[in-house]
Amino acid sequence: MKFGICILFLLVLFMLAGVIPVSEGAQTVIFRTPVFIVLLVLLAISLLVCLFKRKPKLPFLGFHLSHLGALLILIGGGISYMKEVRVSFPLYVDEESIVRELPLKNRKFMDLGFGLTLKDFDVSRYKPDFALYKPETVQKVRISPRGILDIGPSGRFRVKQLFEKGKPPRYTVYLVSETNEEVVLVEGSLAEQHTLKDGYVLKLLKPVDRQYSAVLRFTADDNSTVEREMSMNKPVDFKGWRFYLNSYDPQLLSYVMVTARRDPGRKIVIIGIFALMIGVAMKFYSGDTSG
Amino acid sequence: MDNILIISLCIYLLSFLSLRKKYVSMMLFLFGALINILVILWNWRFIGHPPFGNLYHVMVVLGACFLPVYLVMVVHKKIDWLACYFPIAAALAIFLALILKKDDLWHQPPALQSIWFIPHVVSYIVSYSLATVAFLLSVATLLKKRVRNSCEADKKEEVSYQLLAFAFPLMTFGLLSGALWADSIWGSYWSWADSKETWSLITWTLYLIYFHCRKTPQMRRYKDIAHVLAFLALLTTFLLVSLLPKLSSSLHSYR
Repeated sequence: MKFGICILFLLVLFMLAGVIPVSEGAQTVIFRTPVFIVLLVLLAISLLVCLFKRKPKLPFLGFHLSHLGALLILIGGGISYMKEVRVSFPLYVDEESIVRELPLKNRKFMDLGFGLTLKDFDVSRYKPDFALYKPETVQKVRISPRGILDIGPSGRFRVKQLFEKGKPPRYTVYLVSETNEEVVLVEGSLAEQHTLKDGYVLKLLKPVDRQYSAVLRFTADDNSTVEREMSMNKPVDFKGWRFYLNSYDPQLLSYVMVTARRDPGRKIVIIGIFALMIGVAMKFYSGDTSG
Repeated sequence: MDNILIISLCIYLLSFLSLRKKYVSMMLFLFGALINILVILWNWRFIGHPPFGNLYHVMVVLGACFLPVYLVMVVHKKIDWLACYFPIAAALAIFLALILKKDDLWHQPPALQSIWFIPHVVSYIVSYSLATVAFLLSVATLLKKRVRNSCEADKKEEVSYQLLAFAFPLMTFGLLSGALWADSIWGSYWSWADSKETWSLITWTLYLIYFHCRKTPQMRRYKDIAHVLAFLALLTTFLLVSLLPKLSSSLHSYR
C-alpha cells in the first residue's frame, strides 16, 4: 500500500503542475508526457497486485470491485488514448450535402462507410430578459411566467418572438395598457433598446438557448436510409460511431457542429466507472474495516 | 431575499452560540434551515429551474444541507455531540452566498438539461459539507491535543474519519457521474484542460491518500497532512476555481 500511496501522491503533484495557469491556459501538455503515462501504468500494476494479494471473499467485495473498477478505467482510458478517433466538423442544412468522409488531423480522410446528412435542425430559446438602465443603476429584469414584463411606473410590456429558418430572430415588444390593449413599442432584431418616459432605458438582452436538436439521415451503400434525432445530452449511435451535437450557426442556422467519435475503450471505461462507484459505496457503507 | 438569508445566517449563529441548551440550539438550527429552504424554493421558482447553476445558488443549497446531514449522522452514528460544527458550517456557507455576486437571471443551458445534473451537484454538495465538518472537527481535535493531551481527541478523530467515510462514496459518485455526463454531451469523459475537473480529481485523490495512510501503519503519521491538503484542494475546487479568472474552467462556466 505504501507504493500505491507514493504513486498517488506523485500523480497529485503532476496534476497540480498541470493546472498551473500560464498565458495560453494551463500546462495540460504535462498529461501527455511519458513520465505521467508511466505513473498511470505503475498505478495500474499496483491495483492489479492489490487485487491478487487479497483472496476474493464476499466481505471484501467492495474492496475488489473498487480496485477492479479503477483498473478498468485505466485500461479503457489507455485503449482510448491509442485508438480513439474523434473529429468535429460542420454539417450543413442541405439534404443534398452528404458527408461520407471525415477530415483527420494529419490531412487524411477517413471513410465512414455510410453517408451522413443533416435533414432538419431546430433551436428553441427562453423568453428574453431585459435590462433596465438609469444613470448609476443597472437592473436586470425577467419577463413573468404570464408573459408580461411589469416594471412598475414604467409600465407593462409583452414580448413576442418569431423564428424563421435562415433569418435572424425577430422580437416585438408591446406596451400593454390597463385595458389590455397592445401598442407596438419596438420591433426588430436583437439588442433593441427603448427610452421610457421616466428616464429609464429598456434594453432587450441577447436570448439564451433552451435546447437545440437535429435530425440526421444515414444513407447506406445500398441507398437505404435511417433517420435519428440528436440533441445535446442525446448523442446518436450508428455502425460503431457516436455523433454529438455541439453547437450551431447562431446567425443563420445554416449548419451545426457535430463531433463523430469511435472509441473501442469507451465501454471498458463505463464498466470501470460503475464498478468503482459501487465498490467504493460497498467498501465504506458496509462496515468493511479491512485495508 | 438577501434580508431573509441574513435572518437565516443569524439564526444559525444563534444556534451555535446556544449549544449549552441543546433543545433550543436544535430548534434554532431547524428554523434556520427552514428559512434557508424557503430561499432555495424561491430561487427555484424565480429562475424556473433547479437552482444549482451558479455559485450563489449552490452556496444557498449547501447551507441547507447541513441539517439533514447532521440528522443522518445522529441517527446512523449516534454522534449528536457533533451539533456545534454543523450550524457554524451552515452559517459560513450562507455568509459566502451573501457576499457572492448573484445571477438571478440564470437560464439552464442545453448542456445542463441532463439526468446527471441534480445527482452530480447534490452528491458533491453533501460530500463537501461533510468534509467541511470533518475538517472543522479535526482542527478542534488538534487544538485540544495541544492544550491537554486528552484521549477524547482520539474519539473525535475517529468521528472525523467516519464523516469522511460517509462523504467519500458521495464524492466518488459526483466525480464519476460528471465523467458519464461529459461523455454524453461532448464525447469525452475527461478533459485535462478543464481546471474544475482536474482540481476535483486532485481533491478526490488526496482524500484517497488520507484513507490509505490511515490504514497503513508506516504511513499513519501522514494522515493529518493528507487531510489538510485534501481540504485545501476542496476549497480550491469549490471556490477558487469558480471565482478566480485565471483558474477558471471553460466547460463548467455556463455564461
